Amino acid sequence: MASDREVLREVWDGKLPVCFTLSADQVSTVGEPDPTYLMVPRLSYLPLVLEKVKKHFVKFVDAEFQDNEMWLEYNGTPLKWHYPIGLLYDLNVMDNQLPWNITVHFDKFPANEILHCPSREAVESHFMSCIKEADVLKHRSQIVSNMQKKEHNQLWLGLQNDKFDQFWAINKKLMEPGDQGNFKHIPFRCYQGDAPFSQCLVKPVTNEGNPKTLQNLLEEVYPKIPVDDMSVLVHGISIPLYTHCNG
Amino acid sequence: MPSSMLFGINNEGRVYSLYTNGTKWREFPYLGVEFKRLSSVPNFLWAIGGDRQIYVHVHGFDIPIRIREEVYENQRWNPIEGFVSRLLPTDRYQWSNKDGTQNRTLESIRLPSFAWEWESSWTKDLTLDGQPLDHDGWTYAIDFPNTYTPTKTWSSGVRRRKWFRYRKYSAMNAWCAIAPLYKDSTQEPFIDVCVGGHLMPGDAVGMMLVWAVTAHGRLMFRSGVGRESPEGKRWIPVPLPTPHAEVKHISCGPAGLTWIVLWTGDLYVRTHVTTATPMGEDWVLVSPPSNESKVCHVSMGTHSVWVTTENHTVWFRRGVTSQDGCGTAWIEMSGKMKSVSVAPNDQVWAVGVSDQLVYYRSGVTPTELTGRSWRPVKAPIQLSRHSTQSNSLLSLGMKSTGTNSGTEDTSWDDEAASKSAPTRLITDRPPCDSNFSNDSMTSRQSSAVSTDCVTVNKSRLWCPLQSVGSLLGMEVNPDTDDSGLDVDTERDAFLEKQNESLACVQNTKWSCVEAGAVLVSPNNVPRWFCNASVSIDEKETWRQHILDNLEERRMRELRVGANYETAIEITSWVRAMTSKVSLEGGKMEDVQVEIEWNGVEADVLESATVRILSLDRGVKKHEINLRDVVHTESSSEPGVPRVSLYTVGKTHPLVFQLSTDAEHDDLLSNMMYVCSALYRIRSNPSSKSYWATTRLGEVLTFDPLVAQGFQAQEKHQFCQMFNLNNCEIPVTRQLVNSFPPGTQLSVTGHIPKSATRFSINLECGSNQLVALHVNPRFDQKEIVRNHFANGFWGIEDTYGPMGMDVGTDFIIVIQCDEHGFRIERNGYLLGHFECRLDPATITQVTIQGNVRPLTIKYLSDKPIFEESGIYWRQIGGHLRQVETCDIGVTWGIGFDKTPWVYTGGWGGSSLVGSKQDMATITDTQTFEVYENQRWNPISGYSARGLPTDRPTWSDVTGTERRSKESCVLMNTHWHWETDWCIDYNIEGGTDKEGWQFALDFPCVFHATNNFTDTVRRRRWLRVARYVAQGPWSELGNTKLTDLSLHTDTGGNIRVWGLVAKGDALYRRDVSLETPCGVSWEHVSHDETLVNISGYNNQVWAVGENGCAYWRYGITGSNPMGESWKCIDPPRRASLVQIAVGDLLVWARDSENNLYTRLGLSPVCGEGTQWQTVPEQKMKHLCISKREVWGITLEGNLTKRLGVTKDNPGGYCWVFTLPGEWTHLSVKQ
Repeated sequence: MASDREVLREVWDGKLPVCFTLSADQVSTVGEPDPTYLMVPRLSYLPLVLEKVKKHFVKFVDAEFQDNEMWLEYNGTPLKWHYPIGLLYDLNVMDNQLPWNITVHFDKFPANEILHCPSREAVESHFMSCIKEADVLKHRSQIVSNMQKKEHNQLWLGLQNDKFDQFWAINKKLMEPGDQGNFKHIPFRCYQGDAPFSQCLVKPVTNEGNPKTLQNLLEEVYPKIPVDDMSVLVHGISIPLYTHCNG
Repeated sequence: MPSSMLFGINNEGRVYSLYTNGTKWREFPYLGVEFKRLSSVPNFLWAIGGDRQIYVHVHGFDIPIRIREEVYENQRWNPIEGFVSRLLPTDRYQWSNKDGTQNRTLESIRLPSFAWEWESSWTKDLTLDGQPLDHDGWTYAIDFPNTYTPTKTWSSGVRRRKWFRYRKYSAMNAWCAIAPLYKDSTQEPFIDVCVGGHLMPGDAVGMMLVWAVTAHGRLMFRSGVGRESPEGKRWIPVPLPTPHAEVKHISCGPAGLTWIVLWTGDLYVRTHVTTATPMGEDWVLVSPPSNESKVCHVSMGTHSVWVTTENHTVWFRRGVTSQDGCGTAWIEMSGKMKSVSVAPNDQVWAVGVSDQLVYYRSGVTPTELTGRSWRPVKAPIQLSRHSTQSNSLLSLGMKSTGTNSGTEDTSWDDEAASKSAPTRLITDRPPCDSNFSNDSMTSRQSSAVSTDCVTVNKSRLWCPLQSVGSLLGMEVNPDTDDSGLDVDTERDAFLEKQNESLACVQNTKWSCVEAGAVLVSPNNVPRWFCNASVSIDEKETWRQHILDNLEERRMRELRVGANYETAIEITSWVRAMTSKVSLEGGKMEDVQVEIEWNGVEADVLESATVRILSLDRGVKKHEINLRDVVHTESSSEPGVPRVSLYTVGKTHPLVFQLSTDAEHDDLLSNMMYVCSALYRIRSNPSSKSYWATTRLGEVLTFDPLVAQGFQAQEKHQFCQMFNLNNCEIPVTRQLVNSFPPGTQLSVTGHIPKSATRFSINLECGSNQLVALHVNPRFDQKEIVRNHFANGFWGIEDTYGPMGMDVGTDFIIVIQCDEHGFRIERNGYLLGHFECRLDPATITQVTIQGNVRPLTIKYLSDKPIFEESGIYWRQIGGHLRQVETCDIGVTWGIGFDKTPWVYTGGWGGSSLVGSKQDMATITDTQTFEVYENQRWNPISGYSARGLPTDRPTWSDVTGTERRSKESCVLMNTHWHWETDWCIDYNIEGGTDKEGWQFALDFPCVFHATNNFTDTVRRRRWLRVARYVAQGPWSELGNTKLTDLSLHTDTGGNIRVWGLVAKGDALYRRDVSLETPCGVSWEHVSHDETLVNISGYNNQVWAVGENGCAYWRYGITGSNPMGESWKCIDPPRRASLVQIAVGDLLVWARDSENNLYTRLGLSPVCGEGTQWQTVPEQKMKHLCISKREVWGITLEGNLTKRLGVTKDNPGGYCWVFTLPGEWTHLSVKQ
């Protein structure tokens, strides 16, 4: 799949229409500010896309809070910045409701529910650690540790600036199968509601040498739950159970 | 790397082949004979049949094996009768060979065996060294051992003429039985056969060594086997090491290394196997690896010997070299194998014991010949449509395991008497190609027929005493034979795709694998190991499902968010790097390079620039708008990565010198990405594209459809503006696309108060030929239109009012349409002027007289190469030549002469591009170094030469110093394929150590050290291989030296190729759907051809002798034509290239002078005479219908202007695109 540009492009181009509204209790001016509407990339992170939102709302907020860290909430749930935006939507929005109505807060940061995001660098280091973790699973970390700093940088800037080619020029190295024509293990995370994600070591081929399907994978991760009882979303879509994990 | 084949026999005795570019085993057509043993070299397969007779199978040749038999007829003059065939007693035979030493009458020359057939009858040779002779073909001399001349003089005492006739090996792609040793074939059947020795040092004739073992333990050598006599001559018994020894098995390596295994398990090596003594001289005993178990099988490559023993242990023999074939020690390998087969490049395959799978030894490299581990080959079997037994194959799948395992001797005796027909040709001509279901039936019938024929012919043809080779039961026609063993693997791939639904059998049990013909590089292993059980269909469904869902997701999200701003604004992106740069051909200096591009969405750029800044970024030295880039190409030298950026209107490129290959690839890739995004190029080039190659084999293409959108345009026309402000009068500007109908010219300017008259002339070549003269005369108040030719003005046209006045501005528009020139002044039509000279010959516009012209605007239907917006993009690939046709099929030839077919992708290697249609492309380059030595009385030959001598290590001429160390690879895409080795196949021959001797250095070298010789030299060769990704797929295994693609009026694509031996080939059934075509047809010709070109049923070629050849009789229904007609070259010129267009033929001679053919017409396709095109020499010519393009000696691209049917030479070369162009193909 890593060489299937058509699919990669579609996945990359996934953008969510979001309606940002300033929380009513934050408005310090007479008139309420208009909501702002944006298309945000599913693969990006919230702190990377909020510049315009902040610019739009900050003048309506009490000066005392203006320099506070902005945080977002949907339906009463604070949104974790360290999850990709598409994942947040798929986890929290049940009925594919669009646009996604997000409330913006400048005050009362729920520090016991979500993490602070001090800067873009924090997002970068989080993102790179995810990349490294996946590479450990795929190639025993051989590729990412052999990369130059500028390649890491290009990867990050590609994501930050929504540049597909810039990102994939580097990422394709990470997605190359290893010596055996396969990854060592499949890099994946299964998220379920508020629970922490589930993860285990899954080889890309079965003992008989056949490529594993999504069904095989789910059976290994959740041995107790019948596969048919689950509903699985990958990048916001349901995919056939016989899809190959290594395709 | 050309596709090669691994062979295997399954446990039912069926032969299968596995292509290195395929993924499935394909069965050889089954014709009633099972096989027990196989041995192969490329193109030749020897086998022991179930009847324990020997069969040879020749395959994979696109051109037949043809032998020219020559006979000289000699006559002597006497005063009474003139020339008669009665000769003096001391004379040579009346019918003889060339030097008269052998008696060769026409009747005595027979076919060597029944595998051959005559292709023609005896014909007189009517040329002598390229000069034509009279119709009897006699050549005259004073006496016999003398030089012959074509004319008879008073002193001519003898004459002779040459007769020739071709014979052809007709058993191509068929099993051809070799005659048994005795009339009763069961008396002493064979148990083993091996073939090897096809890479023997010093071999120039293509010899092969074939050895066989009989059931009585005797060893036989087949004499006379070679590429030109595949079946050899006769069996010769070879004495064994001890009188009572009985041979069990024999194996022969590519370089002639031969080992035998005795029934006792003893191993012997044959010594002194050389080209001079192919049978070797003596035996040397090698102690077996273990005493517990007898050796039963041995196989060898070039540097390695592997054996297996009866308990299936595998041993590797260490220390085997070309000098010492015995080796030094045994190394035991892990794993149990039944038998092992070693490829010529020492890669190893084996058959497992219990699972009977085929295994590949991974990790075998020249430094580590033992490899790492056994890896099973997981390729399923594709049931061939030729298979006659597909049902039984499935049902018998489990039947006969074990019968062939190890102890073959018992199982063999059972069947001994079952097959008695000694001689047979087994062929598999499918009678009707289209009807697959009947295929099995009919082919079974045909094999039955062939056996019947044998019984009829057997008694008459059989010749037991001499055993002169194979006897055939029936004649075959290899031209129409379509065996499962196809010549072209592309067709296989194509069929494989089509037949995807055919049943595939997994888990076949193999009895034998044969790797003698397979070439697999350890760093480029074929796709035999991936699990192919996933059929494409299955993958397609879930992939499609995902795509559909993703698209639905996007639609859903876009429906809501259509008017939303994007959260992340596309900002400009800057790529900065440090590099050395040469501006305008100047010195290299260290600078900072910045490429900046801006766009509103990804992949669509609005602008891009390259900035050259000083190292501290303080000073901007240069800036280039990437819209002005014509093309970028690599201009690297070995170890010095460079990129040249050519911009419009500049003769010198901007040269970047990078510090690493990675930066070089990065820059090229960035340039291509930015330019493609700038020009919105998102697909493969259109069928109207121009294709070119550069010095380093890069492929560039220019698509006029892309340019159309970007060159300044009006009404979809290409536009060029000339600013004439402050120009001196008269002023002349070239019209680069001439003035054919559709072209328009607008001139604006100011008429001074004092003006009396001025004129605008459209001239052909010079002011001596004016096609249109527009001449406003204010004194006479009229605008005169006229033409000027042959020194005279024509009849003036003055109709119409003046319409313009002195002291005012004016605009005159001249438009060419079907009727003539339509002339407007100041927006009003003045009138039409009938074309009196062909407007397509117009080359320039000149304005003269009392006028102040301001601008000229030139509108043309074709791209204007002098303006910006002409971008040649790199397409990926490594080719010497690319040829295209006007409907979108493109072929190329690599530097190693491999033909490639364009797949429709773009990008590859370091270039960004499509991910589909990419394949691994390779190329090879051979480096050569000469080692020179001089003899002196003290130390004999030594490297110490005279001070005036050439260097010890040099190139062929000796003028350039060149050592092994100085030969370095161009870039990281290249790697060394071999180490330095001595070349024995060099003109003049060599001695055993590869030396050639001569009297002194600039002399002719010969193979033996004579008394007078004082110098010697030898040649070292090393092969480098290029591997990258590119949108090209390799075509077959026939190397091509030249290629021509064109379409005829019916829209059929005609592809002609020339092979290295000089034969012409015609490719059948090339179409848009199957761009690789189906098969080559051989077009025989007696002369060696070196260049070919065609246009709409006109095909021309150039022979090695410098003559042109015109193919007579090509029609839509007979695309291959009838015969070649020799067209004498221009006087004192030897042609090397020909280019054919619409009633237009240009040629180039060895001095790079150009000629055009006069008198061409539809009825006289060959024309009448050559005319010199004097102005400029060119190193390459290309014709697109009526356009002539050339590449100058410096490598610049240029176009000839004014070429028409009546003026095929044109008038002048216009504009140049600088670069290092080497080849161009345009077909529109």
